Amino acid sequence: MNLKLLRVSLDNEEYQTEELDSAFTEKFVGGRGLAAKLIWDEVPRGADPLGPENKLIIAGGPLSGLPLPSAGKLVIASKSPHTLGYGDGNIGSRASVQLKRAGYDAVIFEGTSDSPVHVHITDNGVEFNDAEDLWGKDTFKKEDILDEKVGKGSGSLMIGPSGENLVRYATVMSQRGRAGGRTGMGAVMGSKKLAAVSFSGNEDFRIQDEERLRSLTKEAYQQIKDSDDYNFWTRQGTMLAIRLTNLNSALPTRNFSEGVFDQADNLDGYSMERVKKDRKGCPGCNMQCGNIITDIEGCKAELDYENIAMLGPNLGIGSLQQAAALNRLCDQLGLDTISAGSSVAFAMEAADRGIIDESLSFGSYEDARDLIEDIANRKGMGNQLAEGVKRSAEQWGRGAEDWAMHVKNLEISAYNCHTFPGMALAFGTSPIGGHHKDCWVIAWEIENGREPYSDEKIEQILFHQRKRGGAFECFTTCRLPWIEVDFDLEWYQKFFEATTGLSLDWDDFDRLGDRVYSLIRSIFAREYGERWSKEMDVPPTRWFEEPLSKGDYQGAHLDREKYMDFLGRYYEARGWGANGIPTNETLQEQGLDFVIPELEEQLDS
Amino acid sequence: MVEFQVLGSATEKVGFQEQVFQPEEPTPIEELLGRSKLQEGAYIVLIDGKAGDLSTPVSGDTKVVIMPRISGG
Repeated sequence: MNLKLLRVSLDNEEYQTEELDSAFTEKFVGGRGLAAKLIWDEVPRGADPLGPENKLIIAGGPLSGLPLPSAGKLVIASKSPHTLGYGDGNIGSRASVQLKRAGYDAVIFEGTSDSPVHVHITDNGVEFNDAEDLWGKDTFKKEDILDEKVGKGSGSLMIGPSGENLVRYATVMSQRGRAGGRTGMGAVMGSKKLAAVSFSGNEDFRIQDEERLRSLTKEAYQQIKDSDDYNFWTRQGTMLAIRLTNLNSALPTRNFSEGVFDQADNLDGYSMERVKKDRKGCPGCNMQCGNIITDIEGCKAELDYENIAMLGPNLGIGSLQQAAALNRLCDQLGLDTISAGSSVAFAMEAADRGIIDESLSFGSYEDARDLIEDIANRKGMGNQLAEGVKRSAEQWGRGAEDWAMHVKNLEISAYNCHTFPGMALAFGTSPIGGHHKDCWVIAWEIENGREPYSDEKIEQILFHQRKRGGAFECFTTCRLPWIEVDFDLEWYQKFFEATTGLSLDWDDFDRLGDRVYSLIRSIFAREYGERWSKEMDVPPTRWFEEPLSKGDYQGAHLDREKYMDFLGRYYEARGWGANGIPTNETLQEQGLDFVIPELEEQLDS
Repeated sequence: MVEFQVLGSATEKVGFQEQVFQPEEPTPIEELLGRSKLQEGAYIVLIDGKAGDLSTPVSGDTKVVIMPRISGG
């Protein structure tokens, strides 16, 4: 199956369509694979991520937007203004369906508009609309205006004030609470003055064997519904994880200084169930994960585990309704909830230690709320924190880097790893910086042993990274049904074959995952050049040198020497050199020969 | 006294989140819970923090946690 791309120039408001052949689809599939290849080919080394040379890619995969389980997703990718390497994120939105209905698999935005613009992509062409009326408004108001302009059935992606103000972890938003692109994809949109992009159309989905896909889909939805775990999932979704992580000393508490929170019961899945009003999710999903409650300000907020953990316990806040309000505020402002939670916690700790002269306290909802608004608007202390914890730590000094909780500048998501070396390695080697989406091995470590820095653990990490970070991100579908309701991986192979006509199996998809990981790593190596080092895959000092002081694992911490050896063995397993960059031989084996000339001086033989 | 803590969908099968049992002799977990309520291998079973299974006998001061395998938030 060929991939159909739309290339949009924001400099001169022109556009053209292009096609990539079936051989490309077989090698990079779509979504993340497609985006990484385009960024390698088209974004020059050293390009300013917030300048006109950078490109913004909205990429579907062969399955995205189709009426099948958990496929209502898109990947949004670019050179990240936060990590300065490859950045992406996926978002569940009607835009995934409408991109396909408009007749495209992906859109590449180039250049920069002189003034705010709303681009409407349809099956009849592309409209460039003045967006002065959208600029400056929050994402909920933007959604209302866009609904009026393009109709409620369309799919729109937009930024909030955070993106307009180039906050390095500004997200792209949709449908009042759907978010993606925590690596600063919202800031890239802001730098291009692209306030919003909408999709609509009536094109048929391009499916090789429609009858087979329809039959598979019917059976698949039913299998998910029949799962023993389905009912509980519909009750709590990911909010179950609050109790699980707190019980296992993994709940980020007060800037990841502890793994247990004494008020966790107030914020867990059962507390949420008592006040839950509704559910929300991606198009086509029958196991929606968004939980809607009324927050402390009387507004509807969509919750999941990451948001509540980072804006509740990690800030010392023990009220679900307060954490929900902070979550909703971030959504309105187009600010990543994980990075915002980490940045605010970092500032609260800095104030507590007397490093900054600000009145900020752990546990204060008002302090958190005001600071989040200031970050989005780059006001006062918020202007510094809009740069993230790594850059703020460099500015403040006095050892703050030790408890700036990031990997490759990206703030770590909501799992404390004082007792989980495997998960720490998963964060360290996540392709976009400190994120959990590609690999989550905490349950495996709980069951099979936390302490070992073992090869078996490395195999688990590779297993998940290949599936979650490789195949699922390229298809582009959500991985939640696979583990949460035991929806077998073979389903995706069948969906893929019925849709594309290509007979790939999971060995092929695993090779795809490895290829995409090596390509993304090559983008980082190219961008960082001589500044690249193994240290970039190492999590924060806090986990190594500041033991837990509470809970069942008091005194526990990671061991740096063991971690560095662990990391080296991970590189070997990937076919990467001792510097963490794929070797010449690996690049050739993975069909990435085109990378070699640009990285020649950095490659181990 | 054997203290049970159950998380996730397993609570719907065993009918509680927390419960205490006082078996007179070492008794397999599955017997305390009522046979066949949980499928072997479907959940993580921790006995005093260490991995076990539903057939493991428990007695005395023991803490049992039964939790689902999830994939993170």
